[in-house]
Amino acid sequence: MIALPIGAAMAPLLGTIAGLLTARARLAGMLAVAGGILCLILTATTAALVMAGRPIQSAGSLVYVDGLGSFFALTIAVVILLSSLGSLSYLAVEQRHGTLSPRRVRVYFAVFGVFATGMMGSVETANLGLLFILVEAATLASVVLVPIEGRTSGLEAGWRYVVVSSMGITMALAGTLFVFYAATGLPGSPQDHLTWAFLVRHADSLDAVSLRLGFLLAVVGYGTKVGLVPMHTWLPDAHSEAPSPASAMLSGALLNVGMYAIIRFIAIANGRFGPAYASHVLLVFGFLSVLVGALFMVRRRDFKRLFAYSSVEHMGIIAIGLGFGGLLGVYGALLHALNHSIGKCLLFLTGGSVVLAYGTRRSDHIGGVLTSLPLTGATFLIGSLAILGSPPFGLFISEFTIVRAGFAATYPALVGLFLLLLVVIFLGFFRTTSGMTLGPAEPRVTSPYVGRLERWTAHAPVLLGLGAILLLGLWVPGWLNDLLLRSVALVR
Amino acid sequence: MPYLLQFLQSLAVVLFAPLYAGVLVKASALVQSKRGPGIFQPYWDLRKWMAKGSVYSDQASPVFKAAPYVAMACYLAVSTIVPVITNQPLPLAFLGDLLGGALVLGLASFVMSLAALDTASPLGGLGASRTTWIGSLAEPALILVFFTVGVLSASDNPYLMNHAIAASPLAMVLPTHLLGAVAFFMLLLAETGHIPIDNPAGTIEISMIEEPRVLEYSGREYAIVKWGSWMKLFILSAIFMNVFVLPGGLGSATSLVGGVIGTGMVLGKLVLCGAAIVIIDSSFAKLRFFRIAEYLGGAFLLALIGIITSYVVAK
Amino acid sequence: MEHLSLASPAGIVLSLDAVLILLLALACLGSKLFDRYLTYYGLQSMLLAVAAGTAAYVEREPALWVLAGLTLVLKGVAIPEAARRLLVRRLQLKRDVVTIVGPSTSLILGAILAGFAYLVIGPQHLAQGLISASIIPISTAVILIGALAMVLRRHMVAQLLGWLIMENGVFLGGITLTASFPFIVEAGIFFDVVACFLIMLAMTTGLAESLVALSDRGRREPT
Repeated sequence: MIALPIGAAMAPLLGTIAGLLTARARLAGMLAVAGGILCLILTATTAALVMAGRPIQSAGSLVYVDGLGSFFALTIAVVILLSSLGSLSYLAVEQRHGTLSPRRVRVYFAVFGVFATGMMGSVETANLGLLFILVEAATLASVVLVPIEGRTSGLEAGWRYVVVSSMGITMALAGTLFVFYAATGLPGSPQDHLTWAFLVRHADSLDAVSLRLGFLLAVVGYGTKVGLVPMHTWLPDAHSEAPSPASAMLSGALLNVGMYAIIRFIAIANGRFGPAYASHVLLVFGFLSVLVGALFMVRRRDFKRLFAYSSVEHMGIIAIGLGFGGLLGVYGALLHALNHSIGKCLLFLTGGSVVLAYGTRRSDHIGGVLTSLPLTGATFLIGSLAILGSPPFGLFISEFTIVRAGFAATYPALVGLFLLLLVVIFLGFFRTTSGMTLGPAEPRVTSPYVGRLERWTAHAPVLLGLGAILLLGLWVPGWLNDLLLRSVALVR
Repeated sequence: MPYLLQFLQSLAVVLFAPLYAGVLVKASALVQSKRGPGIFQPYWDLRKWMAKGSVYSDQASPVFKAAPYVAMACYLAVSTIVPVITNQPLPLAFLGDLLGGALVLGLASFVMSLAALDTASPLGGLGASRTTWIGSLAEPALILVFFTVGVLSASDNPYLMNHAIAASPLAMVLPTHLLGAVAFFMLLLAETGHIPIDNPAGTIEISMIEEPRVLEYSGREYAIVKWGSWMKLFILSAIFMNVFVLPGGLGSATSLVGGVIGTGMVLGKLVLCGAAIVIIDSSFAKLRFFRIAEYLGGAFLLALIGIITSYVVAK
Repeated sequence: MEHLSLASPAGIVLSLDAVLILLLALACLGSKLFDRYLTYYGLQSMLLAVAAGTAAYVEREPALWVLAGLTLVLKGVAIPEAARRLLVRRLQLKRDVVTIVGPSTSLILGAILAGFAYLVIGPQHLAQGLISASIIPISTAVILIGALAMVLRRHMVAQLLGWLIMENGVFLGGITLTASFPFIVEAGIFFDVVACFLIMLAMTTGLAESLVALSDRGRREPT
């Protein structure tokens, strides 16, 4: 039984093997895609099994998949699949243009697999220590991806990323240690004292002071990973300098992994202190993130930075959802995590096509994408509407749920502020993206993709993602609803 | 009997301070493979200066003439209140605790600086400003150092501190105490003008710190000034050894024999302290003037860390 | 381990060790020359190994001996030596030129942070006479000082070392207080740290080389 989640986590390593074997982006990319498909299938099977029965766990709970874990695993697996499709075409083009040397292509795919495996693994364990190790491993792998295009600015962004996030992750480790310390004296083995499920079960008897300290440190530490303001400073640089499919992974998956870790700690803290304590912490971080995201999205020139700030904002929205709490709040937050993953992933992928075609990330140098590259332009425009939470897309539903949760939790003033900020964000974001897509065509710009394979793998993930996010906006499937409800029950 | 011991203690300080200084000079010379003057040289120097007449600048006021005697009185006063040969308070110990002692030493330094300014000689002003600057940096650190032992003994009375340290071998190895001891030794070097703050054997006026203050003195006053500074070195070293490092071996307040043995013990302890000073004198270079702040800041930091780690105290 | 008495020999060794680690963290904060910085860091890691060894001795836990050995070899010798060879000797990154505040001010800030750590942890409220009352605040202080070094210093090498000091602070708390921490996890964390160090080293090298290239170009342009 535990072979399934382990297999799901290991599947992306196919990409790593491919990277070690061949330096041809197309070939390696196809293997990576195969790994992504396998990963998604295995994850879906695991989720189905979890839904049918009890959590899948190994002895000592090193492997442990419950509703929440398999929900996040699904989210991540979808992003992995979409980005590995995107990687194939993106890297093939960059290799042809000579931006990436064969060695760097190898490194890219090798690291991409490790990155994906680290993330899949971290949501499939109940051991907080192992969670830390895998998140750190995934982060380190992703650090390698940021400067891979060889620009000095990329190196600087990567440096900032590794410094800030390792500082954060050290805080998270200290938090984990304190939580472990809070459990001293409880029955069970030391292994158990690090196990999330055990800690939640015995939350009442944890030492309050250590737990409070541990919780705060963990929120700050993993919050650095999530990009909650004021620990977000690395995020815009790293997400804009990385190659677009890697940005999609960073924004769509890695941020969610950090959020997942925070949710695990919230569950422990809620068990000890009741929901109010964690809620206040999260509301503060959430509103700060949305506020800063909104302010920095106005008149942003580099459109990938714009997307990055939008990620900060969306993580803030998820934190607000968790902060409002209750069935609606947590449900909305989790649904939003899924929607944002898919939406941001497709946006970065279609943005990648724009970068390849125009050779710049500056929005004032880009115009008329819709006429020059009709399909890319259309998806870019629709994708940015979707990420802004316009109906009929999934993000509208999840944001709406969070707003309802805010009213239910009787925070009407906060809800008002929240909506106001969303309006500012809409204006700031859409002004830039509509300026890029509309307007006269640029004659010199042609599609960067050559051949059917590249075109297919470039557009398929974007269209798939758009379809998924549209579907989620119209209808939340019954099984997904069950999975979400089961996850919510684990957190509250 | 206590009065006799009291007298004996101050006498020991007055008599043996030049010897201690002489031994230090001799040891330094030996370490540096020189022959060096004999260990009794300070006594001959004193006799020589005493015999000479004094020359005063025509700008000098009575402050200049009185300063050496005031300083000497301060050192004598301090010698009565700190544990030098006994571990029990002597009749005059009520005069002050360690902080009080530091205050009196501060007064001595103050009058010497006043005297240096009094003659309006440029070097005097230079020395006064430098010593005052260093003193102002060293003073907070010194107070913190006293607190480190104070935390352990719950008192700022040097005798009680001595007892607290002597009573528990554990206290000796507590971080608070060790840090305090190191910080105090650093301050001792700074206060008595040793490397790395000042070179006691230095001959270049412009780089001197302590010396330019007394360049205007001659004859008997010069002898008193030098004698006073040797006493200061002796007293601070004795405090360092008796309160911080080796608290044992001192006599009680009632036995003359104990006092005499205590005197011997103190001289023995001072040999150890002197050895440390000599080793540092010979193996380090003088700090650049503006780095002195960092050095004293370091001492301050050590004392501060010592105090904040005092929660470690095992009861 | 957390119930170890301070008055026991192991308790004394540990608390002295911890204070020395704190002092070395402060020394790192105050030093501008990277060579010296690395020496202090190496010494600190060796002291950390001593702490791990003491914990191993008290707990009779063979896994902790392994950890102590790893700490000694990797953190105490290999990491400082690698950094010294590559950064100081080959890339000539000798001294920190871009500090925001001087060494004295940083030291004062560091001392304030150490005091702050004691204020926050409040060891006087913890059980008296136990090792936890002495170690927790010190390891917190070391973490804070490391973070301070990362914030105050803009130079890459200084930031790297600041992070390593932070990590040492976490390990100090981890090893001595939670000696029962599962070894697999501890070892995993350790190798994550080493991997992170290697990546940082690689990035520092890349950045330093591209900076050199940039300044070379800048120098050539006027001619």
